[in-house]
Amino acid sequence: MQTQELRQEPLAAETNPGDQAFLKLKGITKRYGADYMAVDDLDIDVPKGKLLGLLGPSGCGKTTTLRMIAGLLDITKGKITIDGDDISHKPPHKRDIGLVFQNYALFPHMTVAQNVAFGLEMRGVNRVEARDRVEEALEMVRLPGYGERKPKEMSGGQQQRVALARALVIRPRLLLLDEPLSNLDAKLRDDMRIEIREIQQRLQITTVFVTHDQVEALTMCDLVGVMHKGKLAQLGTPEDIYERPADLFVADFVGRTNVLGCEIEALDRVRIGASVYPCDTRGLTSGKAKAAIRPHRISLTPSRDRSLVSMATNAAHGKVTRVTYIGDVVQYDIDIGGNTLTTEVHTASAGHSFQSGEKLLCEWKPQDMQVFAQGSGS
Amino acid sequence: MAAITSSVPLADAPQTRRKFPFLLIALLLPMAIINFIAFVLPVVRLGMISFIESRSGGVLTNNYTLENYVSFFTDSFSFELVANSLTLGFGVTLITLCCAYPIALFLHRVSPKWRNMLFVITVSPLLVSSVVRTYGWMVILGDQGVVNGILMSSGIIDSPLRLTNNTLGVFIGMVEVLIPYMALSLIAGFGRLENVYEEAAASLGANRWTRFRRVILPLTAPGIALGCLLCFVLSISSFITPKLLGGGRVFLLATEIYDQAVIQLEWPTAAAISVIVLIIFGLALAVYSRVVKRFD
Amino acid sequence: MIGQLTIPFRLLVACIYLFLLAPILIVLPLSFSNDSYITFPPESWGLRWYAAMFSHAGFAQALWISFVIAITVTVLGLAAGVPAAFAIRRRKFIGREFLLNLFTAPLLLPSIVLGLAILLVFVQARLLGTYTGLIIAHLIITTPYVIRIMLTAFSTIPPSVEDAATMLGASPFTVVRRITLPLMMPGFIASAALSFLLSFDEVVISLFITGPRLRTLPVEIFDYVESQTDPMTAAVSVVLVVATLLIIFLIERTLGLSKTIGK
Repeated sequence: MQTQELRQEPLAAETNPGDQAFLKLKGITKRYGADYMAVDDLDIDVPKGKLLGLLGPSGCGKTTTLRMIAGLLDITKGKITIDGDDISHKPPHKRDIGLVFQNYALFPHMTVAQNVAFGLEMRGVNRVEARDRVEEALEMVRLPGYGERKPKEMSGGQQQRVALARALVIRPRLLLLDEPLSNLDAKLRDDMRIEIREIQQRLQITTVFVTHDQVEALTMCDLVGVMHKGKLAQLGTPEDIYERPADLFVADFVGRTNVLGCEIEALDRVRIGASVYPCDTRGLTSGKAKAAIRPHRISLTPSRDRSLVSMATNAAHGKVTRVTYIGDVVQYDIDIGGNTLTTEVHTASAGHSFQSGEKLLCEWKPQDMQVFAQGSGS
Repeated sequence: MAAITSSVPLADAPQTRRKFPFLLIALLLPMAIINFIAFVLPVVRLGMISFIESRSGGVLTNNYTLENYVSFFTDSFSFELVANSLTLGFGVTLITLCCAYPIALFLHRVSPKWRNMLFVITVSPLLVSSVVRTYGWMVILGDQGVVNGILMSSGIIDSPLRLTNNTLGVFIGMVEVLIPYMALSLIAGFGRLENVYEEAAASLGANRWTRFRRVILPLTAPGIALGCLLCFVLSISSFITPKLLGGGRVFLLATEIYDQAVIQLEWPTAAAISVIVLIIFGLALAVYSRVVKRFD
Repeated sequence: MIGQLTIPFRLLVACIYLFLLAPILIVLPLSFSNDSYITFPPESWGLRWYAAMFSHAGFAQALWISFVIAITVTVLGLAAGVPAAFAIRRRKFIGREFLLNLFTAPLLLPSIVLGLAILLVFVQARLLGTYTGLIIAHLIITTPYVIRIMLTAFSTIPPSVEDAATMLGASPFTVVRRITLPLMMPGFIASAALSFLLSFDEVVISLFITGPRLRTLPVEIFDYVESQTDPMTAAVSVVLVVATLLIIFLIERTLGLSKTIGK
């Protein structure tokens, strides 16, 4: 009987308290029918107080993962622990997890205050304390005095804040955010992004944030997990994800990138079209591959002799085929012998502006060009 | 010890949840029982009895025969019934459409403030028993009724006009009973109608009549089709109004079913006529779905 | 110019409305007639026929029978229809679509045919002229509406509010009590009201299965109208219309009330 009390504390807790995995997903799997894997063998550890972003296109399994953590979906296989407590098969209402829904899911028949107080009521918090905590929560989301309103009378952004207050007032062990910004307009989204991050850091609450927007993932999160077809394509810091994508899918999905077909010449160089460029092939020695370069990592200079360019940089002669003015940047499409490179130049820093048809030289550092095996991550 | 063995494999075991769905069955069972007793069973029984040898006095034999249908199709009175019912169905539908269309168009165009109130007025007759409304028509159209009273006291006529106990009375009563149904169907189908289309037509040189014929009418056609189906079906099967306003002198399929079943107690005959009515229904539905397909 | 309501058009519509409402409007003044037969306008006025109605054993009894049946049908119809609608909307199972069609199919059947069909079954089950028989027959009329309305009511519950309550710690029972039921209330009340009115007004099927000792009010009126032409029917009709209006008014009040609490 006492065996149920046995709890395996992770060893890491003693050795490295800062990186202790607070939320642990181990081999989480969701299978529908005989063989459709919505989520396939997911392993993620989130340290205490950190914000994990689950990023991916729709249908990649990120929301399924979130709902499994919340307990709204049964897991087919695997184990979820919070702070060492196995919650894999706990009913959702006993998990003590705050969840902010994409459509906010505020109770339409209750006032804002009643909405926020609901979770406290379920926990048997007495009325006086509940009232104070509700007001405190509403102040936190900058809606003091809005308690008597009905959700219907509030704007989308305000409803969003109420949903956040409602999820946080119960002081949950874990906060889950399901695409919380997708129903807001662009300007409000920027504000809410900062606000949510600020509150999360102030409360030091471990959070999982689901989004299909890479800007949200990169700017808000401590850790980003990129998901693709039910699998975790890459887990790392925003910088890892952006600078060192694990595969072509991540490179292509996170930020914009030029993907060019290439041929591996050796461990340290590839051939694109007729030219050979030095770069790290990451262990590939031969065969066809793909090379990826971010548009803004390519610098443009007026056409000059190739020999003047330092051997440390890659360079290609090209011709401007299209100029697109976007405001903060100008985008040039450049034809380099059969392949088109898209490049971006900040309008403020641009020393020179180019015309369509103009010849120029594209330069980039070898480490800015990533090489992926053909078909990786797709 | 048992606790250890039982708690360990849970995590990896695929979920074996699908038990016998007691809850689901408990939720659906009462409704299913009602439906079976008062719908499925009666309809099946009706079909069966229509093939049973006819004996008057509510006696049901076990002899199956086609005789009920044969005698229906060989009796000239049956054809009169079908003809009367179809005439009533088509005629009432057409007149109801002409009365309800202006109402629907008016409701579509009037300011929202008035629209809600007029909408309630339009559908409110549905809440009044058709017996009461038919009685109202008997008062208005009867020999000593309102219409005859006014006409006679003003000296226009000497003897009362026959407005009830004949087909005319049934027509008037049926149209009034069915207007709300037709109006509701039309209003539902008016969603696609917007002023801009008419304005566009006007800018291209269409006059009032052409705009109505070429723009408004085609846009509202799905609602018209639905309303016509509903009214046709309801007038074919209506019984209260023809019985009361027809005064026993208007013979229709529906009144015949009632007479055969309740007065003559010739149940197999009544059942056979019911099946004929259902077949007419099926045909009307088939025509409707073909018409509707042309709009999409 | 375009989309405007011209005077002739307004007049036409006014005439149609007059036609539509005439039979209901005529009944009210007639019910206050003191004449022995129908004349309009009445030669003398009074409450004679109202008094006659309440002392008429048939009508008084039929009113009570109709009331009892309508209340029972409303309660049972909700008890059967609401869970069925819930199961059809919220549970995934094979034959969902089929059951929905089956449960709402009685709407499509002409009531004269359904009345005969039910008669043919009830005659053998000895249910003719019984409360049980009338209640079952009325249930088949009201439940399709209950299911339709409740399906809409369930689908207008905003998605994920129930999940939200669960995540805040509400047990499944609490979720139903605190979230699902309050949000369903308008549909619930609308179903109840419509069930009551449909059952209370039902004539055609009742005509087939009522017996000499158990007659509902509309059947009683029908028979009376068929045989008698005095203004008593007008008095009964006015009572019926007023009762209907009263119910609708009460619903409007409660629904309006639930709106102020609810949304």
